Amino acid sequence: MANISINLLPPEIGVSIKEKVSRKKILRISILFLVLTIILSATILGMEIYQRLKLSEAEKKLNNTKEQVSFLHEEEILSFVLKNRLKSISSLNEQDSLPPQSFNLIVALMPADIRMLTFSIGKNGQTSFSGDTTNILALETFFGNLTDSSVNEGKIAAAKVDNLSRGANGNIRFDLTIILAGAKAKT
Amino acid sequence: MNRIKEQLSEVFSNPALSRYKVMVVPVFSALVCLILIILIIVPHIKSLNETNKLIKDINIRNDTLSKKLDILRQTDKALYQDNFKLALAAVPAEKDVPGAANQLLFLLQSSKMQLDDMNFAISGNAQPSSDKISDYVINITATGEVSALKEFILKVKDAARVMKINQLDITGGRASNNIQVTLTLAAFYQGVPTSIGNIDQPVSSLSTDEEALLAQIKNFQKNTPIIESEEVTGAKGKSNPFQ
Repeated sequence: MANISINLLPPEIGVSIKEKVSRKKILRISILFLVLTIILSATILGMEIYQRLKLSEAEKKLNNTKEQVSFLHEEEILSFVLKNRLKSISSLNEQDSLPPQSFNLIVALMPADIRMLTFSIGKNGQTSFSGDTTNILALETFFGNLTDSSVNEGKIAAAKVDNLSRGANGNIRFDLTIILAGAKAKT
Repeated sequence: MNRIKEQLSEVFSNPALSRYKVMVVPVFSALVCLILIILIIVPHIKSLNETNKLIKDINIRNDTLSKKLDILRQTDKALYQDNFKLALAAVPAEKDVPGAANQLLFLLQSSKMQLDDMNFAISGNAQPSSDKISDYVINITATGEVSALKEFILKVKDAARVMKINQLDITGGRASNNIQVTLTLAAFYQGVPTSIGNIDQPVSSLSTDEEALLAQIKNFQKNTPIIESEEVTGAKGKSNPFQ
């Protein structure tokens, strides 16, 4: 059998009880908020104090290390200037010097019967060469060596005959302009 | 305390004010919360963040400096001084024209080439820059065989003092095997830096490549001894002969 409840209190009392309950609720919530805000503020202030201590400790440590580094200032200067100089030397060593390369290459490609009369090469790698020979086969071999990339290892980009003449004594004289492969890329 | 309570109850007994009695505590706590949030929580959260960042930066700087300190402690000062002298033999701090001339004469002689002419094209007397490598031109005319020239070229490449051949002109002799060569060389020099930057500038020990380079210069120096000018001692005479 179900219970039957009857509210015999007058309705004004019911309303005032409800109001009281809601008032208490608001009061509790506002106090709770206040307490939470105070706790949060206190925590933040505490954290800040802790951080300031940590900061001053870190600064102290840094100053200490700085002081120790400054004691070794001479070593620092030596290390810096030495590294700086070695860097310069390395950069100079990396730069190719075309004239010696060109000279060695052309001398290596030159058959024994060819005689060098003049040889000139500038920084840009353009080489002028003049020579003579009595042996036409040696001259052919020399021209072949200058133009065959498998022989000159692709180091010569172009070889141009500027002049070719034969004297009454059978002496063949020639003037060449040789452009190195590296020089072409640089110019 | 009781007096205050009585006074408050008197105030709130006023029917006009009794309506707001219930609002006093919530409004008060809301005001306090607002003040705390505006004056403490928001600005301090910001400063917490900034301080944290600052501590991190200081710790990073400290770590970098500690590493630098370790490297500097391991640095052998005497060895570095010797190495620097060695590096100065390759690229001197001054033009050092006599040094360059001495080296070239030595190389020509050891390659069995005969010197005909040597001249220097040096412009300006300004203090050498430490930021970039400067150079001056040396023109040489020499006579010798092709094999001697090849040897000389090789020796210039492997000499202690760094020099580069910029121009090479050869004239062959019709009567003999000798050739006359005119060379234009560049001799390099670089000033020593007077400042090394701030304390945070990192320092590293010598790399294997750098050590190899120093060993190479040492080896080259054995092949081409450089005569160092000795400091003049003793009587130096009048500083101004017109006085």
